Amino acid sequence: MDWIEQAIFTSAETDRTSGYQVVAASPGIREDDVRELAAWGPSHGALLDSDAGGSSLNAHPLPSGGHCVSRTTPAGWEYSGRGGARVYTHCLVVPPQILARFANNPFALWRAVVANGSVHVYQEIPRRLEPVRLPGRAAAVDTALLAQLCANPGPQWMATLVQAALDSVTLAIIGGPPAENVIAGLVNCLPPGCRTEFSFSTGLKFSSRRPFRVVALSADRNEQRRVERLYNVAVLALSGDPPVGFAPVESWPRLILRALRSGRLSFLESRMAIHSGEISLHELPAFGLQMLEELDASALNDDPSDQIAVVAEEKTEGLRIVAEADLQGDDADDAAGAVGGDDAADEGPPMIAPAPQTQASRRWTVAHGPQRRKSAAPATRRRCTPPPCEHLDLGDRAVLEKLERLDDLVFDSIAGKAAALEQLKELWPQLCEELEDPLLAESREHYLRHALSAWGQHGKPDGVRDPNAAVQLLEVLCTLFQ
Amino acid sequence: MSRDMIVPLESYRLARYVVPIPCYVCGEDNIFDAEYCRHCLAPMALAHQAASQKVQPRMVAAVGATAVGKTVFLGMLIDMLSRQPERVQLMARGAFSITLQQSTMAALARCQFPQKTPNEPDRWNWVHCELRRSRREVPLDLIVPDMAGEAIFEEVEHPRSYRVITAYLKKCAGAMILVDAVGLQEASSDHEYFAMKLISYLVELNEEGKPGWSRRPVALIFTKADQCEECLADPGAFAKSHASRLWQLCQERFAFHRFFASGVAGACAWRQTRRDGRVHMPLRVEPVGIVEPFLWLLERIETRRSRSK
Repeated sequence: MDWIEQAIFTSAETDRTSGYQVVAASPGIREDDVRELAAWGPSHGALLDSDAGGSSLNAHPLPSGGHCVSRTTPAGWEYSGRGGARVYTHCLVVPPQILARFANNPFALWRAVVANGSVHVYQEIPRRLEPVRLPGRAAAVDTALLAQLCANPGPQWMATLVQAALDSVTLAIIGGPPAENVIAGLVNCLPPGCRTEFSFSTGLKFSSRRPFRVVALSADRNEQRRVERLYNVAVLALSGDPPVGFAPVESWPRLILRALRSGRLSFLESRMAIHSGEISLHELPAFGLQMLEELDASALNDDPSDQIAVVAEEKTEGLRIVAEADLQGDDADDAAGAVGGDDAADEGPPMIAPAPQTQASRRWTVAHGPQRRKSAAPATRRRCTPPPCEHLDLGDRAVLEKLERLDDLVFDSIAGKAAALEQLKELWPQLCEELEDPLLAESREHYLRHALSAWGQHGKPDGVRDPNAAVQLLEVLCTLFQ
Repeated sequence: MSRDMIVPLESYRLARYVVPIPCYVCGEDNIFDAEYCRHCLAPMALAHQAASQKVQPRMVAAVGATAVGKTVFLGMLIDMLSRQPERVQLMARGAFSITLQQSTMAALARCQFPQKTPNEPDRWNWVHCELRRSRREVPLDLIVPDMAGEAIFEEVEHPRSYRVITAYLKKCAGAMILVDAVGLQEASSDHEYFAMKLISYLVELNEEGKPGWSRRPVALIFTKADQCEECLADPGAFAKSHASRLWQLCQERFAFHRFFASGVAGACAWRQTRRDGRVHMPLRVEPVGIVEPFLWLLERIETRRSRSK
């Protein structure tokens, strides 16, 4: 069995120096890891809540390849007599294979360590600490926690948080349920293989010296404004409606939204358990699409009548497409939830509180009533209106070739080829004359999605984006939408 | 979807991000609206302020071990200079430059020492001020940060672990090295060793085209001298007798250095409080030797500046 090394970072007077330092460590910790612990270690006044009950759970990677999972608490007084609480951080240096046993979930690992009786707040800090052995494992998803978060802040907010976490270099969260729950929920909403990419702290003041990817912010408006002004930090206040800028548009956040909305937590858990550790952040979009298909397929297999309900709701919305509904707030899923759509077939535990009934679902209940569910014919779930491609005369090779040419030009233009953009500017007006409006609209929608996706993948690891690429993208979109 | 949709093109906004603003401390490029340098975490306000004036600000460092009294010394120094226009007229540049003075004086007024400076550079107080002696026409702009002792220690032990300290000390025109006089009197060698490490670190720091630290003025200031009369009477002799290794190193390494003694609290006591535990508190405020080392340093910097012209 592998060992977990441990260290304590706090303020004390030692033989080496005085003040905040790594005051004790078990012998197996590498020197570069110790220095990293000192760099990330929170010092005086770093806790958001410095009262006795305040604490922060933190996790970040280490140079050795392991991960630091730490708990910061106030512990006694500053040794130098300058007032204020002493900030005490107990760090565990966790090898990747042990963290993987706990589904790469630092919260689950910390709970296990506490249950094991392996961590203490030492009043007299020992000169030497011993490594910890930690048996056991954890489930891929904490369904109880997710069910709790479905009630507050709700599935839409959780999906928005996932989208924001994926999009942002740093995500700062204000308000809502306790930050530890929200961030633990966010971790649970990610596949285990991706979780180690998301360093976090649940109760430390933000500092660029500790570049956690997900942080909680206090209610202090000055502190919030300071962080809002920082570059590459997205600030989300968990109150009111989720911001449109982080609407769940990518496949994984959409999956989370639909799974949480429909209460299909055990679907999420089972699939994450199967693919535990396999999926990296890079592969997440493709995995998300695959999971969405699996979610649809399992819903179809479970209860075909549920699809009727969805279709009935969709028809009330006219030309709307369910995929679009996902983008705009998942009204369709709400409707399905209200009438026992694909939620009804769910094998997962019931949610503590169901998602609120939206206008769309109310509309369905009033206008059509549940009796329509039996009478409507099963149909494809994705589209309720004749797909735009039906406007095409498939025998018209010339049109198909033009569309293929259009695809090539748009993709090349988005990729930055100036010549392709020039040709697109000539071809697009011609196609606008020749093609039906629905087909044009669908084409625009797909190209817009591709442009957003390309922009999302364009950022460098430090979040810096090339303005030339932005201008090129804007030009392509302007051409297509004018 | 309507073909008549109007898409406002605001790409001109992106152009503002294309022009980088170099950090005044480390020189690395930042975007125009960054508050802190993303490389060293120094406030970008310094770069914006420096860009708006002809004469580039000079930097002076106040360094020393943790709990040596850097914050109290700097806060009191700024406060005294801003009250004594007949000696040197000090005017803060930017609201952030007043925070250190404000927090220090507020704490002393409550019979408390200011709280410990956090390790994180983006939580340090920076002072950018304009100094004008009555007889001089051209004012001197100075930048002084209140750095955490632990951060200085880490940087000395593991160079470049704090980029802001490395970059700042490379550019500094002079330094005030603070040493705890009480510790030396009690024969604790830790303070002396730390000061020696710091000096060795400085001497090894060289920036191309600039004279090394051996030619830059350094004021060695014994703090808490109010509790050590011997130090107050003759700081040089105190250094020779209580920190002989440090004294010797300074003789060898620095062409322009001088020992000073300073104190802020006339007397101190310990107080047990429910909220903050055992707290060291100043009973009265009697600043001594605060302005002198700074004025000496300023004089040396001015002399060097006029010679280089």
